[in-house]
Amino acid sequence: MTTILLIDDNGADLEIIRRAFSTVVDVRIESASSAADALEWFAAHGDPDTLVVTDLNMPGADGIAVIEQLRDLCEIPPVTLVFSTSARAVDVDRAYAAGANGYHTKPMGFHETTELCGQIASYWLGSAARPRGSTRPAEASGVA
Amino acid sequence: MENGVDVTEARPGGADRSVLCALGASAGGLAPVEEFFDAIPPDTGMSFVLVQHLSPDHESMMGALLESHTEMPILQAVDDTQLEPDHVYLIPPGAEISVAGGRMQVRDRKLDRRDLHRPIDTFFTSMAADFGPAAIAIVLSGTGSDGTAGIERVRRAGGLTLVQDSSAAFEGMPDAALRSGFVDASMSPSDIADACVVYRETGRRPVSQGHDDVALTPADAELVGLLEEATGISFSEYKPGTMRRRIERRVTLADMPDTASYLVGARDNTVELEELTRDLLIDVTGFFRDTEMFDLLEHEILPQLVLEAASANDPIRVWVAGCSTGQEAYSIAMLLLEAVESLHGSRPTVQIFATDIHDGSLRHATEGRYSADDMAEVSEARRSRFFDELSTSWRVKPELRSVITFAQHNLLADAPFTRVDLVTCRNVMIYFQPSAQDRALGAMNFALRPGGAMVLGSSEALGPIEIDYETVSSTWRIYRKKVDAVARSLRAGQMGARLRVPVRTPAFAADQRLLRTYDALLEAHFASGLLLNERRELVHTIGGATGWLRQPTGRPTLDALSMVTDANLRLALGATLRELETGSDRTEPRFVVPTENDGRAQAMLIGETIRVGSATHYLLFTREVEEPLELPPTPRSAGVAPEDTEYTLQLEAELLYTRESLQAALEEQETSNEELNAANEELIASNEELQSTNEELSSVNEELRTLNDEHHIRLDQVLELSADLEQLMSSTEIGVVFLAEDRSIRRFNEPARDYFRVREGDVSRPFEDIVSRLSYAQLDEDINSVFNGEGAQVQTVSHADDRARRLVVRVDRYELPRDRWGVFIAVVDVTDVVVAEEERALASLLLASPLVVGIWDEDDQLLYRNRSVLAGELPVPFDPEEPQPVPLALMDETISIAAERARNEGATVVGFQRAADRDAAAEGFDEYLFILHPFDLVGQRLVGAIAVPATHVAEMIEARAREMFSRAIVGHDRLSIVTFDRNGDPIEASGIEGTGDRLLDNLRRQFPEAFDDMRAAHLAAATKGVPSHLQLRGQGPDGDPAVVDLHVQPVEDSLLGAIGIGIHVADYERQLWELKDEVARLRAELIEEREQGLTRADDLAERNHDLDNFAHVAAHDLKAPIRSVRSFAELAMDELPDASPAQPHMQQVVDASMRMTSLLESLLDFASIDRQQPDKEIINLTDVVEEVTADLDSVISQRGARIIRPERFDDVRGDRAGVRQVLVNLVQNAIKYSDEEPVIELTTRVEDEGVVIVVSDNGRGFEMTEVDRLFEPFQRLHDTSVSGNGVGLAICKRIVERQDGRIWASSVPGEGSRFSIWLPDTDVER
Repeated sequence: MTTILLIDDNGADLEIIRRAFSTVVDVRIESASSAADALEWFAAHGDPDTLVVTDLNMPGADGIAVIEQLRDLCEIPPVTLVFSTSARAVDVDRAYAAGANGYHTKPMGFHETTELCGQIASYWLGSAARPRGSTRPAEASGVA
Repeated sequence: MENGVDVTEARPGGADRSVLCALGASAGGLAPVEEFFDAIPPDTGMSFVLVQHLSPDHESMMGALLESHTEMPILQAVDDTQLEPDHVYLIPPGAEISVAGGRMQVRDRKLDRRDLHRPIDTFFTSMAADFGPAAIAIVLSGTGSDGTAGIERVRRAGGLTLVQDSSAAFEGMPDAALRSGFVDASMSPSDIADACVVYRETGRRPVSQGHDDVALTPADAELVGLLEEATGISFSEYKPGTMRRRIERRVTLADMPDTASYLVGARDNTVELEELTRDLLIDVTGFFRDTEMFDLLEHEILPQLVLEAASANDPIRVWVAGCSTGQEAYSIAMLLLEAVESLHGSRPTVQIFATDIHDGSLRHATEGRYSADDMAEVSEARRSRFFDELSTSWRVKPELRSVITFAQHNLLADAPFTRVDLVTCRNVMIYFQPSAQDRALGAMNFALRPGGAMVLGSSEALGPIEIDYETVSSTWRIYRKKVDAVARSLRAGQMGARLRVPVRTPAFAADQRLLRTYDALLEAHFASGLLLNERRELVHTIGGATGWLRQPTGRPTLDALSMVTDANLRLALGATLRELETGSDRTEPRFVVPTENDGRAQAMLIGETIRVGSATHYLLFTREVEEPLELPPTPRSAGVAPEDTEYTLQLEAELLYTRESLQAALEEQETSNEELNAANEELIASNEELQSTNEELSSVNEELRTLNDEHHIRLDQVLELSADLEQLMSSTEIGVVFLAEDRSIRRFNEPARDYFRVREGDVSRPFEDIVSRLSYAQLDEDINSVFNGEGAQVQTVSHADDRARRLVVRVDRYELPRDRWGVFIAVVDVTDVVVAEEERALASLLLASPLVVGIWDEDDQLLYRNRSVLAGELPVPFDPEEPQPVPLALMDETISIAAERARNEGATVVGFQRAADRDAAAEGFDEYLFILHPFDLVGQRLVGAIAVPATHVAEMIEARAREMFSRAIVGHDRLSIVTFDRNGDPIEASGIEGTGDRLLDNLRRQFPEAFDDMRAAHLAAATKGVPSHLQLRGQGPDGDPAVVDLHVQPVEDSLLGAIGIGIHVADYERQLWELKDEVARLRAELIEEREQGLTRADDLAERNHDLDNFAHVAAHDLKAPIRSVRSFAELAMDELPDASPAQPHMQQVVDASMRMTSLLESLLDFASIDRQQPDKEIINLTDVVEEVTADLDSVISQRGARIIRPERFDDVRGDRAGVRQVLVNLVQNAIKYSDEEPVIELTTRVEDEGVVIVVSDNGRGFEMTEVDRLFEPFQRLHDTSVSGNGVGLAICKRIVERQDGRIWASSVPGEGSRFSIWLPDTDVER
C-alpha cells in the first residue's frame, strides 16, 4: 500500500506537511526527523511504492545524502521529492544531480502547502505511474 | 826659480786690500772660464775680472752663460766703480778696461786700425801697476799672444801668473805667455782656481810644472843651426820658450803653416834669416825706459861714479851690454855728460862701450837716428842739447855720438871689457838659460871694478855673484860691487868652451846660385883669382891663385891679404880691394909685378864687386899681359934702396889716390845712406803697419772665435729649445696651427687635426682650403682681422662633431725674427674645465645647500660634511660643529641598515625616517628624508648621505612637480610654447627634444603668413596686455590640411625683456583623438586605481562575502519560523469557527508573517546577486524589453501604463539576465511611483565606448538631494502607501556595477524621473 515518507528535522514543518497531505489524500504517512531514522525505517518497511518527501538542509546527513543512499540501497529507487526553504539554483541543481524526482520550495502558509500537496498527490499518487518492481534493497544490511 | 826670474816674493795684500784676479780668455775660452768659476768658491774675498776679445757690435752672452756657474754677482764693468770683493766683472763690448786705484776704468775702444787691440795686456798691465803682488793674472785658451806682455808685467810686479795647460782648446795665448818665462804655473782651470784661493790665503805659489818642458822641435833646432851658420850667433844658450815664440812669430808673418815649411823657405833667404835673428835678439828698448830707474842713476849712481872717476883722474867707463838700437846707451851718455858738465874742476872723459850681438841693431845705434816717437821720453832740453832735428827724425849730435863706441860683442862668448865703472845689462839675460845667465853675469862681474855699479833688468838677479854686491835698489836691480870683492875668474872652463871659434866655411853657407856664378866666372876668365867676402876673407880660390897664398905661421886666418905672401901683389890687392870697397863695381886693371917673380910673370890685377842678394863679394883676378912692360931692372945688390924708393913713391901715389877715392866714397856713401835710411824707414813703417794689421786681424779672428763659441752655445740652446717645443707641440692637447704671412700653413701639431682637416702634405697650403671641424662660422673673418692687425681674437665655440665639447679658439699674431710675423690658431678643449667649473659650482652650491650632506669612507669615517643651515635642526648627528663626527653605523638603526645596503649593493637607497628624539619632533622636524648614495673613488666605496627635513621634502616635491610639468610641455609634440622677443620674432620653441626648431621651421613652411599673424597677435597681446587668439590654416607635413590654434599670452619678463607667447598647435581631428586617448588613459588609470582599491579592500571584500552568506543563511533560516507561524495561524483559522472573535487576530498574524516573508525574500534577492563577473554577451535589447513588458503585463494593464520605445535599440553588451532584472525593476518602479497614468519611455544611445539605456517616467520624482540615498539598500523615499521594501534600486546598482557599468538618476519632483544605465563595450567571449 502506498506510503508517504516525510523527512524534516523541523518538527513544525513536518507537522504542517503531514497535515496538508492528510487533508488531501488518504494514505499512510510516516514521519522521520532525521535521515538516519528515515533510512532505518525504509530498510525495514520501505517498498517501491513509497513516496519520499525530504527536506534538504538537515544536521548530519542531509537531503542529498538521503537521495544518494536510497539509490545505492535500491535497485529501483523510490520517487523522491525535495521540499526546501532554499530556492537557490545551486541547491536545485544538486538535488536533481543526486537523483531527485522533483524540487519544491516550501510554501509560506498552510493553505499554500495544502494546495501544493494536493497537486503532488494528484500527480504522483494519481496520474503518474510509479515503479512497481521490488524496491528491496539488494543488500539488506546496507543501512549504516 | 830655476828659470832665473826672481821677482819680489811679496805676499798678497791680505785683509786691507783685496786680491784682484783677472782672467784673459779668447777663442775656446768659455769652457775653462766655466770650469774656473765652477771651482772657485763664492766667498774668497777676491774680485774677478774677465777680459775677452769681444766683437764691438754684439752683446756678449757671457753674463748669462756664467750665471749658472757661480753664485757671485756678475756685472759688466762700469767706469770709475770700486771693485767689490766676490764680484765678477766682464769687459763690455767695444771697450777697453783697466784698473787704477782699485777702481774700474772703462774706455771706448779706439777703432783706429793702427791701434793694436790687446785688451788682456792692457788690463794686466794696469793691474800690475795698481795691485802689484795682489794681482793674479790668468791666461786661458785663445790664439795669438795677447796677455803675454801683461803676464810679464804682473809677474815682475810680484803678482801670481797662471796659464791654462794643454786642456786649452787653443793653446796660442797660454803658450805664448808660458814661453815668456813669467808664468808661475800651467794647470787646469779648476787647479788654477784652487791655486788662486791658496795664493790669496797663504801667498804660496803653486809648484811650477810644465813650462820647462817646452822643447825645441827638430825644425826649430835645425833653424837655430841655420841661424848660427848665417850669423855666427849661437842661440843654443837661449831659452827654448823664447826661441819658439819668436820663431813662431816669424813663421806666422811669413804665412807659413809650420816651422818646417818656414825652414825650407828661410834656408835660401838671408833677409828672412836676418829678420828672424833680429826678432830673436831685439828686446824692447827706449830712451830713459823705466824713468824711475834713470832717476836713480842720474841722481845717486852717476854723480858718485863721476866724482870717483874725477878724483882718480880716470876716464869714466861704462859698458852697456845688449844695447840693441842704442837708446839706453845714449840715455846713459846724456846723463853722464850732464853729470860731468856739472863738475867743477877736472872733468873725466866719458867712455861708453855699447855692445850687442846683432850687427843690424848696432848699425842703427851707430847711425844715431831716431823717430819722433822714439824721442817721446827725451826732454826738450836734452833734445836740443844732444840732438839735431831732421825732417822727420832726430839725429844724435857728434858730441854725444863720440863718447860711445858701438861694438859687436857676444856676452856669452867674447871677452869682456875691463875696469868698467858701470855695467848695465837689462832684460838680456832673461832670454838665457840659467847656465848662460851665470856666464854672462861672470863676464860683467869681471868687467866691473870694485865699487862699480851694475844695473840689471827688473826680473834679473845676481845669482852666484850676489855675495860680492850690495843692493842699491831691489826694485830696479841696481847693485854696487863691494870694494873688497874678490876678483873672480871668468870661469875659464865654461868661457873657453864658448870661446871656441867655430871653423866656419862661408862657402857652406853660400848657396847654389853663387856656386853657379863661380862656375860661370871661371869659364869666362881662365885666370887666377880670389873671391873674397866683405870682410876680406877668402871665400874661393880660382886657378893659379893658390900659388899666391900661404897660411902664415901662428893662428890660422882667413884674411886674404895676410895670406898673400908677395908684397907687390898684396899692395895691389889691397888697393884694388879698397877701391872696390868704396863702391866701385870694377877697377881699372892694375899692373902688378910680383916681387918674387923674375919679371916674366907680369899681370894685370882687376877687381870686381859681385852682389848676389844681400851678400857682396869681391873678385880679384889677374889677366895675363900679352906684352910685358919693360920695367926698370931691379937692382938686386946692395940692399933694397931703389926698391924702397919705388915702393915709397908707389905708396904715396896710392895714398893720394886712396884719399881721393875715400872722400868721394864717403860723400857717395853719405847720400846713399840717406836714401837707404829713408827706404829702410819706409819699410819699417810699412812692416809695422803690416804687423799691426796682422795683429788686428788675429784679434778680430779671436773675436770671431769667441763669438762663434757663443753662437754654438746659443745654437745648442736653440736646438734644445726647439726639441722642447717640438715635444711640447706633439704632447700637448692644445691644437695649434701656425700661418705664414701669406696665410699658408707653416706648421701644425697632431692635436690640431682634431679641429681642422689637415694632413702632413697641407703644410704651405693656404689655410682657407682647410675644412674646419669647429662650429665657428666667422673663423676666416677673425683670422682676417688678426692679419689686419686688429689684435687677438678669442672665441669659445663647440666642436662640430660633438656639440658637448667646448673649445676656446685663440687667433693671434706673433713676432718672428727679421721683422716678420706669423699668425697662430690655438684650440684648447675646455670641456673638462667647464665640467669641472660646473662641478665646482655644484660643490659650492652643496656647501650652501639647505640639504645636509656628508660623505663617509669605507671604514665609516666621516670624510666630508657641508655646513648646511639645517644641520643643527636635524635629529641625526650631522651637525658639523660636532667635534667627533659620528659614523653612519652608529647614527640610527634605519640609516645604518640603509648605509650597509648602499655599500654592499652599490645602489642608491632612499628612506624616510621618523625622529626618535622627542625634542626634535617638538621642533617640527620629526620626519626627514635621507638618501644614501654609494660611489667609488680611488678604490674606495664611499657613501654619501643627504638628509632633508620633511618640510623641505614637500618643497622638493613641489619643485619636482613643476619640473615634471615643464618637461611634459617640452615633451609634447602637439603643444608648443614659443617665446618671442619684443619685436615678435620667435626665439625658441619647446617641443620634444630637438623638435623645437623643427616646429618653428614647420610653422614657417606651413603657414608662410603665420609669422606676420603671430607678430600681429603678439602686438595686440603686448600692447593691450590681454591674451589674443587666432587660428592658422595651412598644410601639414604630410599634405593634410592643418589648423593651428594660436593663443597668445603676454608674459612680461623684465629680466629678459621679452614677451612669451604660448601657441597651441593642433588639427581638430587629431585633437579629438587625443582627447579620446586622454580619456582612455584616464579610464585606464581609474581602473588601475580601482583595482588597487580592490586589492586594498581585500579583507573588506572578504567581510562583504561573509556578510552576504550571513544574509542568505539568516534569511533562509528566518523563513522557517515565519512559515510555521503563518501556517499554524491559517490552520487555527480553519479550525476556529468563522464567528470566533480570535479570527481577526489570527488574520493579523498571517498578514505580519506574509510581510516578513516578503522582506526576507528581498533581502535574499539582494544578497544572492553574484559578485563575480557574469558571462557577457551581445544583448538584443528589443527582445529583452519585449520580455519585460510581457512579465509586467498584468501590472501594466491594471494601471493603464503606456510604454514608449523605439523601433530598435542599440545593442548592449553584458549579462542578459542582469539587464532584464534591472529593466524589470526600473519599469516596475516607474509604474509603482506614478499617481496618474504612467508613461514610461525607454531609449538607448551610444556614448563613450558604451551604450546608455535611459528609462524615464512621468511619476512623482524625487529631490536631487536624495539622489545619493536612492541606490542604498532598504532606503525608501516614499511612504508605505506603495508596496516595496527599498531594495530594488540597490539591486539594480549592484547588477550594473558588476558589469563595469554605471547607473545614475536625475529628477524633477512632480514632473518625473530619469534613470540612466551605461554599459561598456567590453569584449564578449562568444
